[in-house]
Amino acid sequence: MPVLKKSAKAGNPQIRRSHFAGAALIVALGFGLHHDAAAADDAEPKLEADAKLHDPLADNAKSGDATAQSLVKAIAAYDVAGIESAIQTFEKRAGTAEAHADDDYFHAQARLSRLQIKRFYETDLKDRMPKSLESIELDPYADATLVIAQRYAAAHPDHSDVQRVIGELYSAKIRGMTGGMTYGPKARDAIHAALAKDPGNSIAWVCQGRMHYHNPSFAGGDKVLALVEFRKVAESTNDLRAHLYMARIYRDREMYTQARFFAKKALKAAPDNPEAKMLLEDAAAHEKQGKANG
Amino acid sequence: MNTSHRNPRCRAPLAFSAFALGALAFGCASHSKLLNNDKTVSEEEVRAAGAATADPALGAPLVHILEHHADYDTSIVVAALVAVGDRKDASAVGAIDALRTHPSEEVRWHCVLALKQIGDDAARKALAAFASDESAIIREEASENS
Repeated sequence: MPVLKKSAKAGNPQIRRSHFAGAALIVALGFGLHHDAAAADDAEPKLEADAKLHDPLADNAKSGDATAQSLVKAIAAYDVAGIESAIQTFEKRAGTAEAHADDDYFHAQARLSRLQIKRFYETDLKDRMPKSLESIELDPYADATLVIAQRYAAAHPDHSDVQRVIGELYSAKIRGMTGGMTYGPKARDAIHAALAKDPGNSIAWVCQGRMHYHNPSFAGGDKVLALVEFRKVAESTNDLRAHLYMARIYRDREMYTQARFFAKKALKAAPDNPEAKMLLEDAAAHEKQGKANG
Repeated sequence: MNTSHRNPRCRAPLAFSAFALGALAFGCASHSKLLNNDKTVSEEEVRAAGAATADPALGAPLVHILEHHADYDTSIVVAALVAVGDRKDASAVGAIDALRTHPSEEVRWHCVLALKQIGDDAARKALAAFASDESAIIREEASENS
């Protein structure tokens, strides 16, 4: 994995585009948090130091069928073929006697994961993007997935994690300032709803940390709080998403030993995950270069 | 009348001097919380002490963080371990060794890195003890050559 210097990053149009998209997302999410700020402050969930966290997706899969269980493994490994196989199963048995009660929840999660994995490849490994992801059109795909998730949420009003899936789908739709003003508040409200229903939902806390990290301070952003939230989730649940996010944050801050630690943890949690591998190689290369430079 | 400020050749050194003074002031201020053992010190400030190897006054506050780790956030303790490693500060080995039973895997893993960087006899002896840590990634790091 080549080591990217700051100057090289700035000169790479692909990276400039992703920086621009990232900046747009930050502004957009900022509007999301800024919207109805007083009410948001009242409702802002706080992660307690002694909170008992759990991975809702893995927990729900334990009571699911073999398709749900293999889906969770496929998501952790970014195994696109495995995820698509699960989607085909859910589509095939929808509306039949073979359908399971939680199919819509897992189906929506599987489709959300396709969007998220596509975004990873677009940003970091464009030349290695699986062919089947190339044809996905973000908005119609996310909208169709929202229909599935909202149908499940309507039938299961106490379900926390489907609210998190809905929040992440709205987040995925955010492109630019207008998108942020439209979808940012919806994403935030759904994540808060997930945490209100289950304060131990570790994935929802990662989403909350992500909002705190990307938003400017005037719009509720708080990078220190975000790191506290990510670290708490990483330590108490061994959550892949939290480890990956921590590795990215420390890499971006050029604190490569910390980045390498969290990439190693991510790789322990999901040994085949390409994002964890990329972050580990990148952090190790930077550390080596730092040592060589004295 | 002094017109040197209108001359671009004069403006450049003036701007440079202003920048250098500003940077110096920022540099002095940037270690103030660390030097005062202020518990609100930032990760960036602690980390910067690792690069400031020419300033011996920064060694003791870093060791203070390690010795009083319970008073600081995990991220600060980790940043202090990175900094003492970068400084190859042999006086920190005792404090690092005392962190062998710290509950955070992230802290213990960075203990290993710091000991490898320090690399003297005491550090190597302390490092050997981490090779039997309960965490596989710490055992691996402790047994890998630096």
